[in-house]
Amino acid sequence: MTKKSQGEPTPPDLMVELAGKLKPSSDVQQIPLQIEEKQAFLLYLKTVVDGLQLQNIVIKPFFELSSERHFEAYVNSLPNKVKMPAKEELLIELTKGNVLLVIQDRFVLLDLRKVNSDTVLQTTIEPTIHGPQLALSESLETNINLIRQRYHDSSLKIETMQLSDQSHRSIAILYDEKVVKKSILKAVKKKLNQLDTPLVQSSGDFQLYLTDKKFTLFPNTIITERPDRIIYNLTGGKVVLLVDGSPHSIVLPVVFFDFLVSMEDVYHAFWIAKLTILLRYIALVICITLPGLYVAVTSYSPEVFRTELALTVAGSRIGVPYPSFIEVLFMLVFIELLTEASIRLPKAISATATTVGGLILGTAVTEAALASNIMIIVVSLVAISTFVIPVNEMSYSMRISRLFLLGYASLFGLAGVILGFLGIIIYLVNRESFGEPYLRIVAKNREEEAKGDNK
Amino acid sequence: MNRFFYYLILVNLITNIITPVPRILLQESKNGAVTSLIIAFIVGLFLTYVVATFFNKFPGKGLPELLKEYTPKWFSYPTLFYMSIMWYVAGLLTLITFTFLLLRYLTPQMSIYIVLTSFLLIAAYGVLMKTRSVLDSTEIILFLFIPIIVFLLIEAYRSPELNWDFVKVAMMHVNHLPGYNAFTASLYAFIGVANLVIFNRNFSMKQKFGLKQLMLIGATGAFILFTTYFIPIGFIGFDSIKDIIYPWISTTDSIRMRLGVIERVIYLFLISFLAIALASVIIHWHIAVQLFGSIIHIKRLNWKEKNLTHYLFVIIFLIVGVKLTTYLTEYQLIRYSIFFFNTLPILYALLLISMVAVKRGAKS
Repeated sequence: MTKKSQGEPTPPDLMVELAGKLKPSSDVQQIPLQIEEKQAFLLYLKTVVDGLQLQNIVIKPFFELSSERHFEAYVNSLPNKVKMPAKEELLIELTKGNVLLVIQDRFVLLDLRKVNSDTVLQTTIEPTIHGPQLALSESLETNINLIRQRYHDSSLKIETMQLSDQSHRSIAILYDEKVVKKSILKAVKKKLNQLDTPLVQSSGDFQLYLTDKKFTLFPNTIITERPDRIIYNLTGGKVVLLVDGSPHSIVLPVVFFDFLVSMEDVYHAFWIAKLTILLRYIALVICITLPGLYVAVTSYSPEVFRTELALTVAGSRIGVPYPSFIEVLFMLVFIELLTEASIRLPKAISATATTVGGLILGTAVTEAALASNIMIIVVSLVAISTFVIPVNEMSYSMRISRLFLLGYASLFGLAGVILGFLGIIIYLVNRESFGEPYLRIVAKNREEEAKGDNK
Repeated sequence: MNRFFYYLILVNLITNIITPVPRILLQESKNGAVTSLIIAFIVGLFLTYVVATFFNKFPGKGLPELLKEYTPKWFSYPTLFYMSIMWYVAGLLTLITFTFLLLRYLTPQMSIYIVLTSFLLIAAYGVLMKTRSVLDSTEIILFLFIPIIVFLLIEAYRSPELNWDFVKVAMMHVNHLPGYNAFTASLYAFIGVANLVIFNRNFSMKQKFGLKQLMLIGATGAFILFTTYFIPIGFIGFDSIKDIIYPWISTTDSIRMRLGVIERVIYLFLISFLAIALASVIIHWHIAVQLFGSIIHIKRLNWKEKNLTHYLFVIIFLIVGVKLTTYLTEYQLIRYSIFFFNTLPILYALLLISMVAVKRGAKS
């Protein structure tokens, strides 16, 4: 194909074709290398390739080695060499930062990509006191490196695959071969192969595509940024998915109790850890039932409490001009707005927002008799309890389920609170995450005692 | 046996307190209720043993499958139909009694329809769950509320208002011949084992069921039956107990927690028994739906690859339930439940006959 005549050497047809497809992007580089009898061609995108590495690894040796044969042998032994994909996928590989090299009509693909998002980030969403302080990065390879470096066992398998969406993002499936449940792995892989989505941006949306049901309230997977949580789950036989460009990993399948585990529990002494866990469950119950209980107790059955307390509650509501459920709804919406605002605002201002919202407005609302003092306590308690739930997504779900419970309490009173609460429980029990039951009491020999329905 | 088996029995034993059982027993307190209790205890334990060992021989199989496999159609279909109605009524009984309780003691100003809706919305979802989920939910409900119930019982037993002299007086009436009403009513407490007709489907492992397991059930059963009958007498007195409509409510309302945020124990009682009642209704109706489903399967009711026959049953259940609850008065409820309890031996007899039939069929 190449003519060894004088003047400019002509690149092979395939390369010309590929370059043509990439044009008119300005960063396409098609460079012929030539000295004496030696000749090679390079095709790459300048913006995604590490120029210095290219210079050191490919271009310099080309001019130093004595013959084309030597250079080819050298290139073939490079660690950067990647398996040659099919012709259609070559373009995608080039956009990822691979360099196409042609020597003696032989095509070689070298991985010389430049990734600027591989700095390891601080933990921000799930901070701990005693645990590791660094989270994942935004680059897939760095993340795999982080995990491998913490889990030195050959049974840790990492399979990478490319999504078929528009971004052609790489994802990695991680599992420990020894403990992973084969059926789950199979289900996950099947799901991944069937995936038909236009665009995946991050773990967050990717996770949503993995669930079958469109309208779900409770998360089907955990999204975590902590490498120690990933390892903890891997040893527990779970499957971890990493998406390139996202600093979060997806852990699946999950059970409800996973959402109430903070990695801090592992790093504390037995009783401290157990008490913190207990505290968290109390917070969970408070966070979902308290608004409903307030309505039920003030409007339906004040006689449930001992007389003094009932009088205190009723006395506190003197002057509040509307029924208790409107009061609760009003204050809940208010606290949700406050939470939402402090998340979206820049960090410097969010402190002001919480002060204005929480302190000043809270006082003003009671003084204007728009809500009772006890209501303010209830709402603050609810807000604080919500933040105790360690996994963010579950606390979102709980924020919504407590509205359901509030509605049930407003309609049906105290019995409604209990029934609604049980309703949420049996709904969770009946749910599944990748074929695994979502909520049930953990015990030994569970599967043998009562197997799943064979329908 | 595995733990779910105990849960099924336990739920039934506990629910027995909020059904009309205590009232029927206490009405008969001068006519041999004590002897009836003792006989029902022995018979119930014997039946528990027989039924449990029978289903143990066929792990992973429910009664509908066994009957269809080993007995002729003319026998299996009517039997299953009768059983499903009985289970539906059992659930209905709990539902109606508890609705009355809620209306009378917790939210008297509410309409009966609203109370029913709140209960039935959740129950309907529960009934339609997978069998396994029903078991798991039962476990969680028991796990959450048994501690409260145990606490209540401790409060009751150590309460100074509990007068043991009355209990002793009641015990002295052991020299009467047992009455049929009292016997069948107390037999209801031991019907829990019969829930295996469906739930055995999920128990695929062979279980050990020997003397130890039977003694555990016996001890729990004896304790709960004793509590059901004697504690109200101890609180309210032997002579006047006949006239009280809800002996257990009146009993718990006489207990006071001096230091609690909730002072009157009755609310804890209502709340925890509401949860247990829900579990019981879900279990009974789930069985009823499954039994109905095993004999009636309407193929035309398919929608999006899902057969809606079970949904249809549940809708019928709900409609009949609402109609009956609003129609019945408390007096009628007691009369009809006596009637229902009186037919329980027929259910047991049918169960035993079908077990013998299945065994014979399996041998040949």
